[in-house]
Amino acid sequence: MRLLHVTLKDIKIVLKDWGALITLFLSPLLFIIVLSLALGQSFANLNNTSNIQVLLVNNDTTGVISQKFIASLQSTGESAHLQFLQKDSNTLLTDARAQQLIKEGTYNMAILIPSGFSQDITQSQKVTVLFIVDPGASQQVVKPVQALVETTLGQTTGPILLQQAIAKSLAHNAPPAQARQINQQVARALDQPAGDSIATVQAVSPPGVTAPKHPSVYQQNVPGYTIMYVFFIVGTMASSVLIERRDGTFRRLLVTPISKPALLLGKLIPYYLLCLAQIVILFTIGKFVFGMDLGLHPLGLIGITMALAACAVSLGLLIAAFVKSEGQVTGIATITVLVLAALGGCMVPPVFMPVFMTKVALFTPQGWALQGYQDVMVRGINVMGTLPTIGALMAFAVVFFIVAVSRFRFN
Amino acid sequence: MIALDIVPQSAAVKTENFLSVQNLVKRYGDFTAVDNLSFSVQPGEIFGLLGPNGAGKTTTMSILSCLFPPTRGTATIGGYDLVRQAKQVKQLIGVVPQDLAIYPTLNAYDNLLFFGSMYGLHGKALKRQVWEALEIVGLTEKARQPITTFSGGMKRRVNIAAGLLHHPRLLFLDEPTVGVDPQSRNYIFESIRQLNREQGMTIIYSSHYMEEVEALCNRIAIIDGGQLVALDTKEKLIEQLGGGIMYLGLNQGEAELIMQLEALPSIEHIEQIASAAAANASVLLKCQVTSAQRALLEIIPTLNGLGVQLVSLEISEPNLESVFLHLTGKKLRD
Repeated sequence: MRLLHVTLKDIKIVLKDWGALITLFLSPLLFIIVLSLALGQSFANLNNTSNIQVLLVNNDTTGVISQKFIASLQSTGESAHLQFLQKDSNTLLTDARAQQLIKEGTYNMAILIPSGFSQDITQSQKVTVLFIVDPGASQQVVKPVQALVETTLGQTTGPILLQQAIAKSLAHNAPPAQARQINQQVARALDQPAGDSIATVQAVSPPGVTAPKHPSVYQQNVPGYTIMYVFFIVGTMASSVLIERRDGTFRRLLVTPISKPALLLGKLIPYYLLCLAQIVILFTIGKFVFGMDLGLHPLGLIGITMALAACAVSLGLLIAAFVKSEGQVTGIATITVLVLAALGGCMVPPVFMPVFMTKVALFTPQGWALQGYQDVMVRGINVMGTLPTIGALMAFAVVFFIVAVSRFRFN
Repeated sequence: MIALDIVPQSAAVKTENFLSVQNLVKRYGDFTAVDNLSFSVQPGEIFGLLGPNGAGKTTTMSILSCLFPPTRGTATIGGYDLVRQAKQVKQLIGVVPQDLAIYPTLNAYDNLLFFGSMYGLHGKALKRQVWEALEIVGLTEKARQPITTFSGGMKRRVNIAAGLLHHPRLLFLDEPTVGVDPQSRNYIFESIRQLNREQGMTIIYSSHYMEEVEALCNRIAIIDGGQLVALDTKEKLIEQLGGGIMYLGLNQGEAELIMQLEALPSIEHIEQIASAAAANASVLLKCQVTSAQRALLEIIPTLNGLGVQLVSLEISEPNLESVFLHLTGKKLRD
């Protein structure tokens, strides 16, 4: 009963602290809105598989070979997530327009098929297809595209050149009728579609591995900033403990019949409830205002939420056990919370981090919480699948709590 | 002011001395804050702890209110051992600490509601006792106002009210009038007298203000350096000084002079002391006299007869301050 009264007393005090309430509820909401608007396109591109677009200008509009080349490019490009665009705003592209678009940075690459391409090939004349590249484009993207274009060009023109070479040889060495028959057979053979070839390449994924799913902008920012601001409770809690020590209210309570464990728990529970309220409210806004998808098994979010709140208040108690002044509270709590949030992927999404940083994130409770939330919302993990995350968060909470209790002083 | 209902305590008083302290010691490393303190307090007594800042009064009260255990020694309150039966002791005692230990963001009513609940009070009984305590300290009309709007004296009164809610048998008041305006101070004094008179509440009152303990307390323990220097009623303590103490600064002080002065009828005791305050005086004598006026009439002719010049003269009236000075050589307030 005394525990309940201590809890209610602290709830009353916290609800009067407008500054703390604004920090805990309004600030994360503002971050979510602003950063979602700013980064929305980046997240859209993550989930957009046809995201490499290459301009294609065909100045040999009547040529058969250029048509074959373009058809091959489009066929090959489909499986390589490449899109070849021949029009800009419903207007056929020209050389000048394509170069302008690359200069402006709208596109990175363009292929220019010269006029007379097909005729030159037929006449075994040297012909150059221009591959225009933005110098600032990533070579990791350009090189493979260039290679694909070169290969496709070779595949298109190679058989034609071979046929011409055979015909030339037969014309010198074989009777006309026989030469004609052989040429027809060669032409038929070279015209076979790629699917009829003896050797083919088929692209597959390893068994059991599906394509990675990336979070939407809200599936990153809502849990990310919620987690970050949940840990802001650390400063509020530490300040509250400091004030009770400084004002002597702890001393006063220790001479009443309440036990020390009840007094400590009574201090933790209001902040635990506040964390839960924070997470529920922000996720509710995320779902119903921003349309954030909670995944196939949203109940999995509950366990993670409870473990996350436990972790946050335990860290708050740990910091309260060490600090001796308001200055220390501000400094230590702020740095701890911001650094851990950054490492955990709350600010820079893990999908944009290098691999080693995503591993470092798992040394923080924030990293585990974010991964857990996104496992449920993005990757479809069910309730049982959240147990490792809950276990990791509770392990952090227990360690923080044990160290805190061993160092905590009421005076 | 209203009379409180006396709620029978579940913990019955077992002995005649309500508070009994035996050889209490508290050490912090090499520093001894309380050094072999022994005293007892009768039920219904107002007992004073008088001493300067750092004398050990707060530490003593903290031990007796079960805030922390002593290093050595024992104490019982209502027959219950302080350390082994702390839970029963805490139900018997109320504490008004030196700090303003209240929650500034809550109003007076909510503060008292909370502290009352810590003693197991709840429901209508709790609310009734909150209003009774507010009535005692004269804050019923301001009960719902934020504490932040209160004067220092009013905050002190809330601080006191929080110690009364559960009708304690023994109330510890640790310097309850620090920083308080005279009106509030008088109100506090009257409240203490009323609690003692109407409820028979035993009160331990600590202060470094002589006037307060003189006005309120039946018996006074003078504490300095953690030790009990003297313990008695105000009258008997002051009696030690007789008619007071005179400090004579002289330009010389041979043995013959001191013998002649000691022989004077109004001089009870003479002691030669060293003091940097004796400007231009080579000798400073501390004389305990039966009457300051009669002593002067006897001393002056004696000094004239011996050709000794009186360089300085200071007379300490018989009061607790001079008792403290006499016993410790230090002033109550620096």
